[in-house]
Amino acid sequence: MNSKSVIMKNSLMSCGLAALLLATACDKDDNKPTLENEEELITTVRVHLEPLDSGSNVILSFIDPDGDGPVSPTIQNGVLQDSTDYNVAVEFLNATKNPPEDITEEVRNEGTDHQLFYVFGQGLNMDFEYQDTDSQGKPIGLKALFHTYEAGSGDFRLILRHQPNKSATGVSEGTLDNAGGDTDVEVTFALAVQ
Amino acid sequence: MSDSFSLFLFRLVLICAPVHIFSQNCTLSISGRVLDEHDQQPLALTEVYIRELNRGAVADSSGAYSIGRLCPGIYTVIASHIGCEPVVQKIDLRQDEDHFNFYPEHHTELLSEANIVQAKKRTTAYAEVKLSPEQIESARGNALDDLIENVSGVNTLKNGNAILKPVIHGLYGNRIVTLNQGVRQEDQQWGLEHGLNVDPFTAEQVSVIKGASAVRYGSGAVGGVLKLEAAELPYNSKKFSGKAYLIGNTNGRGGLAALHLEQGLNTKWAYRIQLTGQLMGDRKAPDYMLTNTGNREWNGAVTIGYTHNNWETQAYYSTFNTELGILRSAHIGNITDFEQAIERGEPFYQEAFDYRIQNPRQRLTHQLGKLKTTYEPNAHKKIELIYGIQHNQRLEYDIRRDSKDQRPANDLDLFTQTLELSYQWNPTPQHLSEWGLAGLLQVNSNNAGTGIRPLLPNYNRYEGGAFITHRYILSSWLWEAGLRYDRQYTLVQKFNLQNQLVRPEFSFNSLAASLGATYSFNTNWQLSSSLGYAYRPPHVNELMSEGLHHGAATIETGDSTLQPERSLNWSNTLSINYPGQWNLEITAYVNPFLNFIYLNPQQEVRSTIRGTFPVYLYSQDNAILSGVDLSGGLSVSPKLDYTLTGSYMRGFNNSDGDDLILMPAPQLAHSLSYHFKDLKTFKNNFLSISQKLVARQQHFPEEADLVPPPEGYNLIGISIGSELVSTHTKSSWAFTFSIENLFNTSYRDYLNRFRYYADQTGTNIQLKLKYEF
Repeated sequence: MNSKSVIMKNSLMSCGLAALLLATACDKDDNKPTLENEEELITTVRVHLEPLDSGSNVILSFIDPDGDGPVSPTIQNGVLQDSTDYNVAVEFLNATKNPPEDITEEVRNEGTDHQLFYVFGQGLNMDFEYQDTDSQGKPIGLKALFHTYEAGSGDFRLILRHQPNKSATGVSEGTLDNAGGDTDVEVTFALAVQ
Repeated sequence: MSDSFSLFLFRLVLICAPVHIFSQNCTLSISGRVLDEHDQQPLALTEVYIRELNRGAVADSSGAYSIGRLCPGIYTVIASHIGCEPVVQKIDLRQDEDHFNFYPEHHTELLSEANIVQAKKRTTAYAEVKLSPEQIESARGNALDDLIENVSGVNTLKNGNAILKPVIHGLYGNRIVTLNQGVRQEDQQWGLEHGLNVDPFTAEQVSVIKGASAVRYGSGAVGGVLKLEAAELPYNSKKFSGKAYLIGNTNGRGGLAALHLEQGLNTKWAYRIQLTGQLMGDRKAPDYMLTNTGNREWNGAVTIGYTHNNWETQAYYSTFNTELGILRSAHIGNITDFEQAIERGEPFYQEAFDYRIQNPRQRLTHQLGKLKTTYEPNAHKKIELIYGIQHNQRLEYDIRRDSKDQRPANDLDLFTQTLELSYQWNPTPQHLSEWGLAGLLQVNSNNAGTGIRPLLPNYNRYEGGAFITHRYILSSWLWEAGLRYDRQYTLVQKFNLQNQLVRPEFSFNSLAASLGATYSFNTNWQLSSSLGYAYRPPHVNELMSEGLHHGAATIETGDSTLQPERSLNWSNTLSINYPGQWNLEITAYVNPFLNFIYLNPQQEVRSTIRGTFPVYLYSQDNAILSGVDLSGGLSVSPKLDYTLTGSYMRGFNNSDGDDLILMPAPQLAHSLSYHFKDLKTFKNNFLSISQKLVARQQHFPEEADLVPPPEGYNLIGISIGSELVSTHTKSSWAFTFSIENLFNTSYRDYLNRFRYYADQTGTNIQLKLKYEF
C-alpha cells in the first residue's frame, strides 16, 4: 500500500518533469539553422591562354556552382595553335557570392602553401614553364608559359595542391609525382592542338 | 598450507569460471568462510544474513558459517563484522553453495587476486559478459579497446589510436547502446570518425550484452549494449579511501595520471571524486613517425549520495574533454590523392616527434549530469527514477585552403535529456519483474561560422517508451522475457542545395521483444538460448547527410525514404565449468536483418572542381550476420593459468549475396600467467605472456572497399607485476611493467580507417604505478 502511493507520487513527478522538458523544447524556431557562407568553395576555374605572337586568345573554364552537390559541371574546352607559345593565367572564383570572390588572390598570398601543376595527357605535344614565384622563390604556377609543338589532342589536367613539398625532386619543375599535399582543385579539359 | 593452497585454487577458478548450480526445492544451503581480505585470518562472530529473508547465521571461530532451508532464487547475502565494512554479495542460488566466502575490508581490488563477486556467473539467459575487476584493472590507463576486447566477439572500430567505437558481433555506432552510469550515452555516433566520449576510468563495472535481447535499454540496441557503471557508494565506510595511478608510455612519450577518492559519512552520506589527465605526443610505427597523432585529455567526475530509511538519492556529474590529432597524412583532397597515398604505402608527412596537435584535429567535450532516486520499501520492491542531462560538443578542425584560418569545419552541439522511471518487483526469490517508462529529448545544432555547409543538419528528437521484463527461476530452468515499445519523432531543419529552409519530419514506432532460457544440466554444464527482436529507426545521418568525407575521399548521401531496420537475433551459449580445472564458453549466433541500412557504392563518380569522388548512398537490403565466440580458461597448475578468447563471423547482404563491409576478421587471443610465491611484503607477483592473432579478412565487398583488407598479424605482449602490501597502514603499492607489440611488428588492422595511410603503432613499454589506501 505504502509502495503504491510512492509509485503514484513518483509517476506524477516524472510526468511533471516530462512536461517541463517538453515545454522547454517545443519551440521549433529555437533550432533554426543559419545559412553558412561557403568560404571553402571554388565554383569557377578559368585558364586564360594568350599567344605571344599572333593568333586568338583561348579561355578554358570549369564551372560547378553546387560544389560537392549532384549537378554536373559546365566545361568549356579549347583549341590551340601548333608551334606556339602561350602566356597562361589561371583564375579561381567563388561565384556563389555577390560580387564573386576572387580566390586567385588568396592562393597567391598563401603562395608557399600552394602550387599548380599542369599535366598534358597522351596525344598532346605540349610542355610548360612556371612564370611566378612565392616568397621563397619556389613556383606557385598561377602564371605559366605553355609551348605547343605538332598537332594532336588529349586531356589536359590542372591541379592545385595544398601544402605540397616544393623541395622534393622535380616538384619545382612541375612534376607532380613527389609533390604530396592534398588537392584543392583538379579539373580536366579536352584540348586540341591544330 | 594446503588450506591456503585450496583457497588459492578456488579463487583462481573464480577468475575465469562461471559457477553453475543445480536446483532442488527449499532444502538448499549456503555456506562458506569469512576471512580477512589481507591476511586470510578467519573473522569469527561475523554476522551473515540474507536480506530478502531477514535471517542468517554467525561465523564460528574458523570463520565458517552455514544458512540452510533455502529455496532456489536470487538472494542478497550480507556479511558484517565489527569494525569492518559490510560485504554484500548477490547469489543466484540453484543448488547447495558451500564455498560462498566473504572477504571483508576488501577496499583493495588487488591486481591478480580472484574476484569475490563471482564475475562470470550466469544470472541471465542473455549473452551477457561481465568483465572481472582484474581485467578492468589491467586495462587501466589504456584506451577503451584494451578493456572491451577482453570479451570475445567484441572489437573496436578505430581512426588511429584515440578515436574508437565498440563493435559487437560486427555491429557498431547507432546499433550499439552505451549505458554510461545508467544513462544512455548520447554523443555523436553517426560517423566512422566519431569515437565514444567516455573516460574508461569512471567505470568500475563493465559488461557487454551481445545481440538484440537487451530490450530494456531502448530502441536501437539491435547490436547489443555496453554497460559502464560505477561501484556502489561506500555509505558504511567512514574511512577515507582512494586510488592513485601514474602511467607512462614510451610510444607517444606520454602518460596518464588518475585519482579516485571516496568516503562514507555517518552512514547516510557518501561521496566519490575521480580525476584523470592524459598527455600523449605523436605515436610511432615501427618504420616512421605517425605525425599529428598526439592527444590530451582531462576528465572529472563527482558523485554525492544520501541514503536514509529505504531511500537513496545520488547526484552525479562528469566532464570529458579531449583534443586529439588526426594523422596528417590521412587528410586527402580527392580520389587521385587517395590513390597516390595507397601507392606511396607510407605517410607523406613524417616529421620529428612532437607533442603539438595541429589540424586535422578534434576537440570534444561531453558532460553528463545525473540525478537518481531509489526507494526500496522492502526487499521485494524497488522504485528508481533517473534523470540524465548530457551535452556533447564536437569541434572538428580540418585542413583549410587558408592555413591561417583556425575556424572549425564542423561545430556541433548535441543536447540530450533523458528520464526513466522503473519499478522492480520480486515477490518471491524466483520472480523478478521490472516495468518502466522512458523519455528522451534531444536537440542537435550546428553552430554558425564554419564557412562550410554542415554534413549533418539541425534536428530535434523526441522519444517515449515503455518496457516490461520478467525473470523466472524454475528448478534447473531460468526464463527471461522482455517487451519494449518506443515512439520517436524527429524534426529536421536544414538548407537545401537551393538554400531554401526545409523542415522534413520523421515519425517511427518501434517494438522490441525478447525471450530467453537457461538450462543447467548439472553443476558443470549449462545451456542458454535467447531470441531477440529489435527495431531501429534510421538515424538523421542516414536520412539526411550530404557531403564529403575527407578521411576516405567519398561523398556520402542520405536517403529520406529509408525504413526502420528490423533484426532478429538468435544466440546460444554453452558454458562448461570444472572448477579448478578448466572452463569453456561458446556462443553461436545468427542475426538476420530486414532493411539493413548500409553505405552502398553508386555507379556514379561525382565530378567536382576538387576532382572526382566515388558516391555512397545510404541504402537498405536484407542482410544476415552470424558467428561464433569462444572463451575459456585452463588451470595448468595452481600457479599457472591459461586463458583464450576467439571469434569468427561473417556478414552477407542477402540481395546481392555480397559480403558486408568492415566485418571483424577471424581472431584469437590467448595468454599464459604464472603467479610467483608471495614474498614477505611483495604479493601477487605475476608474469604473463599474451599473443593476439588476427587473420586477414578474406571476405569483403570488392566494389565498396576502396582497398583490399590488409594482411593478418601476430602480436606478442608481456607483463610483469608485483604488489607491496602494508597490512599496518592498510595500503598497497602495485607496479606493472608491460611491453606491447614486443617484436615491433609492422601491421595494419582492417577495422582501423588509418590502414590506408600508415602502419599501426610499434613497440610500447608501459610502466604503471598504483597506490591504494
